[in-house]
Amino acid sequence: MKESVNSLDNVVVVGYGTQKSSAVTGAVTNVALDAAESRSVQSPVEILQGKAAGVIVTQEGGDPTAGPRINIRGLGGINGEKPLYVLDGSIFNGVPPINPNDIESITVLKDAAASIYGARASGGVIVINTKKGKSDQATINLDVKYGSQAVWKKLEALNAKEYADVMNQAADNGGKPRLDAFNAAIYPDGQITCSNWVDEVFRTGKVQDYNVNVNGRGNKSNYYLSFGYRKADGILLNTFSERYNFMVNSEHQLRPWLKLGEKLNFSNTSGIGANTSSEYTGAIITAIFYPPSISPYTEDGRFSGLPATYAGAYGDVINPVAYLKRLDNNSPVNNLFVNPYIQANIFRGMSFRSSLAINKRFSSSKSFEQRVLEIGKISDYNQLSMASSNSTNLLAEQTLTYDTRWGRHHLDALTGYTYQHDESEGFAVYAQGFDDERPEYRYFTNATMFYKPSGSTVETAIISYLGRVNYGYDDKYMITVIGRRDGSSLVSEQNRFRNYGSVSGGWALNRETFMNHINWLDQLKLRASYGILGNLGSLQAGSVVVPLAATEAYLGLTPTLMPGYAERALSNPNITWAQSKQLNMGIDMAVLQSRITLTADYFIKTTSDMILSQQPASTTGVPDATWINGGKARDKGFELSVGYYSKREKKFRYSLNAVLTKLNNELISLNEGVTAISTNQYNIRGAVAPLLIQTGNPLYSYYVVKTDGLFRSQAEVDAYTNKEGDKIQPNAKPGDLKFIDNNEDGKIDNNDRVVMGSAYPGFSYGLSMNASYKNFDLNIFMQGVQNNKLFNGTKFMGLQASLSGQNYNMLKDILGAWSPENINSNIPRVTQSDQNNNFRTTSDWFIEDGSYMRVKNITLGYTMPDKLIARTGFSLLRVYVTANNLFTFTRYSGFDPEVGMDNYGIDNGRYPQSRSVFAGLNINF
Amino acid sequence: MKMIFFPEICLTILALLPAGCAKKLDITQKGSPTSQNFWKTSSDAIRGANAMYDQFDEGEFYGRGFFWYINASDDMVTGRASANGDNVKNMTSAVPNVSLLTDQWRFRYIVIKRALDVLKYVPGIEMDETLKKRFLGEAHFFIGLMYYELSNNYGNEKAGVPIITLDKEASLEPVPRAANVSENYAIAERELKEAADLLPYFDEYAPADYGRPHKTAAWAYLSKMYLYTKNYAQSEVYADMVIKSGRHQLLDKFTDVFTIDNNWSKEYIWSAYSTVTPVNWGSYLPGVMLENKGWGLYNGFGYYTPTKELYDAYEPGDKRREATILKPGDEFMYFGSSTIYHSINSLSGYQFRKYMDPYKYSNPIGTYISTNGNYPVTALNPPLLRYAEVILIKAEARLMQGQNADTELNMIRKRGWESADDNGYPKLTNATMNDLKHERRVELAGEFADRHRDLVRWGDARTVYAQPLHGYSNTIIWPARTFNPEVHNVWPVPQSEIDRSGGIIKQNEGW
Repeated sequence: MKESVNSLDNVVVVGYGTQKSSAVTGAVTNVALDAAESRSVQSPVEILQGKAAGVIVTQEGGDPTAGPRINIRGLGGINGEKPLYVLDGSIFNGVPPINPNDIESITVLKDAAASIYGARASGGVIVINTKKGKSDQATINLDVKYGSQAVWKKLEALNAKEYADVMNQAADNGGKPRLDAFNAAIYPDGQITCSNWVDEVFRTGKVQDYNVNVNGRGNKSNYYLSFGYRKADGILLNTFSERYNFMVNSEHQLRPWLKLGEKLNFSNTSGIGANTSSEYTGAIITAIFYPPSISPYTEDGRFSGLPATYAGAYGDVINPVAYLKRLDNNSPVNNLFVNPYIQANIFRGMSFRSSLAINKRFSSSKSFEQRVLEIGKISDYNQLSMASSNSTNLLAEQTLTYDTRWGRHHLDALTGYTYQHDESEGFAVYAQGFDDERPEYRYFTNATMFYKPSGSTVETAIISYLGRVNYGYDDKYMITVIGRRDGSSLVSEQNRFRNYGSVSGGWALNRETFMNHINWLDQLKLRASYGILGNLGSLQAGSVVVPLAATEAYLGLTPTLMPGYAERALSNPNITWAQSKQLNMGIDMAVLQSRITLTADYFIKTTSDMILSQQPASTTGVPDATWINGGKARDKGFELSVGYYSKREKKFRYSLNAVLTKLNNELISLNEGVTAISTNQYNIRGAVAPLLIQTGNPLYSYYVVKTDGLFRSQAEVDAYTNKEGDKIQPNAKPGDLKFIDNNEDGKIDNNDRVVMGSAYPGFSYGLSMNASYKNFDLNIFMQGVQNNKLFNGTKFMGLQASLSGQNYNMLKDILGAWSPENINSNIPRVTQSDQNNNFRTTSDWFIEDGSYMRVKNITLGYTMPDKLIARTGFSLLRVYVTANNLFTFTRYSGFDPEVGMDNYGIDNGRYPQSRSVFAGLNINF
Repeated sequence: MKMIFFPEICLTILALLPAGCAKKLDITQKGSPTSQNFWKTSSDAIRGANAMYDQFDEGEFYGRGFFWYINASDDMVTGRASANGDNVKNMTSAVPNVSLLTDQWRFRYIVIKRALDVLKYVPGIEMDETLKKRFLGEAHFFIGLMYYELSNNYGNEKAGVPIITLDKEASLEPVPRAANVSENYAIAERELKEAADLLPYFDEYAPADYGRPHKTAAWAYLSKMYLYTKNYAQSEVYADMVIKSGRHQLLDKFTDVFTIDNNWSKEYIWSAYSTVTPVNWGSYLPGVMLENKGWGLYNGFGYYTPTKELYDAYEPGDKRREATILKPGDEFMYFGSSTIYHSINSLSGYQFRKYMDPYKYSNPIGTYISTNGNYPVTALNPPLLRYAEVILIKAEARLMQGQNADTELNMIRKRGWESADDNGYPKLTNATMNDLKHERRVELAGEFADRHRDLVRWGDARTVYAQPLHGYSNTIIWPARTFNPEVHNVWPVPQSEIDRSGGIIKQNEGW
C-alpha cells in the first residue's frame, strides 16, 4: 500500500518549478491517487473526481466515448472555463491522452498561484507528471484487469397491452377517437408483448485493461517505458472505447552540471458512442417509445419496422436495436507528444532550463450511415463521411531559476520566455449512393453521389514573459510575487498583450516562539493570495474577423450547385479574452505527527470581460452571434480537506480522507442593457425550455412555473380563481396540474416562471478510505453531490400520452397516473389533448433533486507474502478485485443522476453510468 | 562553474530557435474569405449573389413555414396530431411561441441582408455589365418579395415590419417595426419595379439560369401586392402587363400544371425551386402533404389534408376537384404501381393530390423524391405564384373596380373543365365577387396563393371559421373557431423576435 500524501516535506509542483509544501502560499492541492492504478478508467482525469477539494468532475453521461467535464472552483462565467493542463512541465492543449497508470502525481493550482500560466490559468491548472525510472534494478511491472460492466438501473416501459389501454384511455379522456392500432378486436397482435426494448438495447460489456512498464535507474540515467491497452465495451449495444498508450521517459546526467531528458508518448484512442441526448432519436428514449408488440428482428433475421397498416398510430420511431447495431462511426485520434529538454546549472543556485514540446495530433473520423428501410422513420439513403484533422503544437520554453539562502532568508526566483505556435488543418468529405452496404464496400470508391467537401485551417501563436519571486524568512513568513505577460495572435494588434500576476503570502504560526510549547501541533499556516488571471481558451479563432461562410443553392433546368459566400456573423475587431480576479484565504493544519491534517480555503473569483455571444437582431440579417466582451460573474466557495492517518506501526493501518466543496455562482451583469440571454436552444422537442441565464441568478438556473400538485376534483378547479372570480385554469379538469399564478395576472403562462436551482452541484464531496491489514489492502471511495436539480426529460417524454402528436409508448409509471379511482396520484391524468398544458408548460413538475452518493470504487487486494513468491522469481504479486459504482444512493427517478452539464441537467434518457466489477493481477519481476 | 561546450550550446540554440519577437503574432487567418477581402472581383459578385438563394432550402421557408398560416383556412386541417399545428389553426395565444414559426421571419431578413450587400458592393465591381444588371435586378426582386411576404402576414395599419436599409452600417442592434405596413409595401413596390426594369424575361434565360427572378415575376408580385393593398387599378395594370407580355399561357390540362416536366412551363411564374439531384434541396411541401408514413414506403408527414368543405366546393364536372384532392377509392400511381387511395392516418380522410407527381414513378427515391425521409423534398417545384393566379388577380381587380371579369374567370373555368371550346363548361356571365371567390378557392387550393389571407382580406374569415370542418365520412374533424378580425387579421410576430430585440420589436395588438 502506498503511503498517503501527508508529509509536510513533500515537494509540490507549482509550475515551472517545485516548492516544499510547507512553503506554498497558494491553494495548491496534491491529489491523492490512492488506488488509481487498480481502477480502470478511460481518461486520466476521471480519477480526479471527488479527490481534490474545489475540483468538480462531472461525468457527461456514461457513453464510453464521452470524457468528463472538469471545473476548478466553479463554472467560471458564461464561457465555462476549462482548466489548463501541464504535462511534465509543458502546456498541453486539452486533456493529455495519457495512460492513467503512467501518472506519478497530479497537482492542482486553484488560485492566484496559477497566474504563472497567465492568460490561460483562470480556470486553474492541472499539472500532471508522469513516472520516472525508480528501481535500481530494471523492473517489469505487469498489471492485468478484466471485468464487466452493466446498467445498474433501468426504467421500464409499458407492455403492449398496457400501452394500448393507456392510449385508449388517453383518447377517451382527450375526446379523440380511439385508434385501430390499439383496438384489440381490430389489431390483436398489437396487444402481444414481443420485446422489452429497454432490455434489448442494454448488454453486459466486457472490459479489459493491460499495463506493463519497465523502469530502472543507473548512475547517470533513469528510464521508464510503458505500454497500456484498454478496451471497454459499453453497456449499450455496439458501443465501446479503446485506447493504447506507449511512453518512453528518460533522463541523463551528461555532465555534472548538465541534464538532458525526454518524454515521449504516443496514444491512440477510439470508440463508438451512441446518441442518447436527442429527445427525438436518442437510443434509450427510443427504446421506451418503441411499441413492445414488435420484435427487434423479423423472422428472416432483418430488423423489424412498424406494421404498415398501423405505422401512423405509433409515431416516428426507429428500431433502437437497429440504430445501435448499425452504428459505424469510429473517430480514432493518434497523439504523439515529444518533449526533449536540457537543464544546466550555470553557477551555484542558478540553473537554466530549455524545453521544446511538440505535440502532434492526428484525428480522423469515418462513419457510415446505412439505409433505414424499416417502417417508422424511413431514411432511404446511405452515406460515408470521412474527416481528418491534424494539428501541430509547438512550445518552446526557456527559464532561468535562481535559488539562494542567506541567514534565515530564502529567495527563489524564476524568469522565462516562452513561445507557442499551434496550427491545425482539417477537411471533411461525404458521399452517398452505395449500392452495397456491407462493411467491405464502405469506401468512397463505391459511392455514386458526391458532395462539396469542406476544409479549414487555424493558426495561432502565443508569446509570454514570466517571472516569479518566492521569499521566505525563517520558514515562518513567506511571500510570492508572480508576473506574466501574454500576447496572442487571436486578437487585433492593439489588444495583443495583457499582463497577469499575483501576490500571495503565508504565515507559519506554529514556528512562532509563542507557539513552541504546543508540541502536538505540526503545522498551522495561514495563507492569502490575490491575482489576476486570463481565460484565453474562451476566445475562438475568427472572432476578430469572421470568415465568410460557404452557401449552397441550386438553380437551372439541370440542377447545378451555385456556391456562394455570405456573412453569417458580424466581426468584432475589439474582442479580447476574459479575465478573473481571484482572492483566496486558507489555512493548513497538521497535528499529532501529521496524523490529522486539515486544509481549508475560502475563495472569491470574479470573472469579467466574458466572451458573450450577442445574438444579432433578425434585422441584422446574419444568423450567428457576434462575440463581444462584457459582464461579470462570480464564483464563491469554501473547500475543506481533512485527513486522518492511523499509527504506522500498527498491523491494521488505515487512513480516511474527506474533501468537500461548497460552491455558488452568480451572474452579476451582462453586456449593457441586457439582463438575460436566451437559452431556448436547450429545450425538449420545442415544447419546454427550462433554462435561464439572467443577472442576479446562478448560471443556467431552471426557470419554471411552480405547481401545486394535481386538482383532485372539479371543485378544486372551480375554486382556483383570480381576483375577478374567473377560473385561472379554465381548461383544467380533475387530474390536471395546478400551476401557481406567480404574477397574479389571472392566467398561467411563461410570465409565471420562477428561478429554481440548477444542475450544477452546490455541494460536492468525496470520501476515501485506505486500509491495510497484513497483506490485505482495501480502498473505498465514495463521491457525491448535493444541492443540485435535474430536469427529468424522461418524465416529459414518458409520462404523457401522445407526446407532440406521436403516440409513443410510455413509462410504466404512467399506470399510476391520476384517475377518479386514484385521486392522490402526482402524475397528471392521461389525455391525448392536454387542454391544461400539463406538459407544454415548463413547470417544476419535471424538476427533481439531483443529489446522489456513489460508492465509486472499492478495491480489495492481497499481496502474496514475500516468502511465498520468493520461489516464483517475482518481486511482487498482488491480486485484487475492484468495483466501480457498486452502490448509488439517489432520489432521482431517471436512469442515472450523473447526466452531465453539457445539456445543463436536461436528461433525455442519457447514457447511464455503469456498474462494473474487475479482477486484477499485479506482478513485478 | 564549468565551461559550456559546443554541443550544449547547439542544443540551447535549437530550443531557442522558434522564439522571436512580437511579429510572430501577426498571423493572417487562411481558409475562407473574410468580409474584409471579399467583394472585389466579378467572381466575388457571383458568389455573393448566389448567397441570396441558400435560405430557400430551409424547411420552414417554402416547405411548411407560412403554410401553417394557410392551414388555418377552411380548405384543410392538420391531418395528424400536432399540438403546435393545432395552436396555429385555432389561433390561440400560444402561436407566438410555436417553434415551427419562429424562423421564417428571420430567414427573410437574411435574404434581405444578402440582397442589400449585392446592391451595396456589386455596382463598384468591374464586371460584365449584363450580369451586373441582372444581379442587381435579382437583389431588388428578393428585397421586394421578402417585404411583401412579411408584410401581408405580420403587418397592418397598426404596425409594419422592420425596415433595413443600405445606408446604415450593419449593426447588432434591433430595428423597430415600421409604423404602418404601408411603408413596407412602398418598399416592396419600389424594389419590385426596379427589379422588373433590370431583369430579363424568363424566356431570355439560358436553361442554366432557370429559377432566377425574371421580369414578369416581378410584375406578377406587384399585381398581387396591389390587390392586397386594394390599389385595384394598379393591380390590373401589372396583371395585364404579365398577360400582355405574351410570354405566358395556361396549360391545356389542369393536372399538367403540377408535374416535374412542367416545372418551367408557360404557366410558371414563380415557384419554390426544388430538386433531389445532386442533393436534396428546396421545398418539402409535397412530402409534408403526403400520407403520414407514405403507406409504408416513404416518410410522408401527413400534415395539411383537405376538408370535405373544399371537396364539396367544386362544381360537378370541374376536373380540378380530382386533380386537387384524393378521396378514398381514387386510383393513382404510387411508386410505379396503380394504387387505390385509402388513408390510414389522415384526419380528414382525404389528401391533396396536386403534389403527387413525383411519387408516381417506380423507384422514385434519389431521382424524383428525396433520399432523406426527414427532409422529403421532391423534384417538383411547388408554385408560389402561377399564371392562372395572375388572371384571377386581374379578374378580382376588375370586379373591385366595378368592371366585368367574365373573360378572365371563364379562361380559368374553361381550363378547369378541360374544355376545348366555350361549350364544355358552365360559362359565367356578369360574374360577381362570389364567383371570383369560388374560382380562386378551387383553382388555387392547397397552394401558397393563401386561402386564409383571401378570407381575411375579403372579410369572410369570421363567418367561415365559425363553422366546423368535416372529413370524408362527414364527421366533424375540426370544431368551429373564433376569428376576431381586430386581432387575427395578422399573425403574431414570433416571440423569439420580441425577446431577441429586448422588446424593441412589439407584438401585434391583441396577440
